[in-house]
Amino acid sequence: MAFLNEQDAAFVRKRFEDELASEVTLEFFTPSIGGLALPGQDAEMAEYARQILTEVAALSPRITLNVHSMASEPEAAARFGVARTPATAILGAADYGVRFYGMPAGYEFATLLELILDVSKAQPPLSEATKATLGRLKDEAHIQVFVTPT
Amino acid sequence: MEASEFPDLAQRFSVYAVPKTVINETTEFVGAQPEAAFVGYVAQAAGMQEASTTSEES
Repeated sequence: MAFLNEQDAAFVRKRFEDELASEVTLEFFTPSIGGLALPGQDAEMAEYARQILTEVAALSPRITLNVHSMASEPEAAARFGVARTPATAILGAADYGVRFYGMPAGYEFATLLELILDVSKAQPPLSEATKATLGRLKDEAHIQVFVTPT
Repeated sequence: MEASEFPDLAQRFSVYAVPKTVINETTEFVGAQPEAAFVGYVAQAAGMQEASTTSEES
């Protein structure tokens, strides 16, 4: 079952064509792949997330999706700093620390698209004042934005 | 972070209205904020390096 209809898929494909400024890699972490049975809902959520990401990646030759299993690839999880799943690390020319935790459904699908586009731009659209302030931060900033699908 | 999928975190940070942003687990705010305000919270949470001036600042 396709997540996006023809019209939406065409729209997203066009946006990627017009606006993606670099290659983007999606590193998706699922609790497990195949074989192992998981508590029902978590497994369904993870599978649904994987399907959405697969469809999104198919809409541009510049987007690559890599699927990892937390259970069998702990070193990959450590490398991308992923401890909870489902999780998607969104990487552009570099790893800017952008992570999406959970299923990109509802309005959050639009969030996923914007994250992909923003990550592809080497220069984010921030004001000079913002860049100056961020350049002077003392410690690291771990920013968690909580949302709910509607 | 999808609050409904990570209820333990939503509870830990008292997430009721979204979007809720938590920085370094201590600084938090609700709602979409303009860029300058958002950056202000980041600076508050992560601290700012001392400006390199010769005069003393408190």
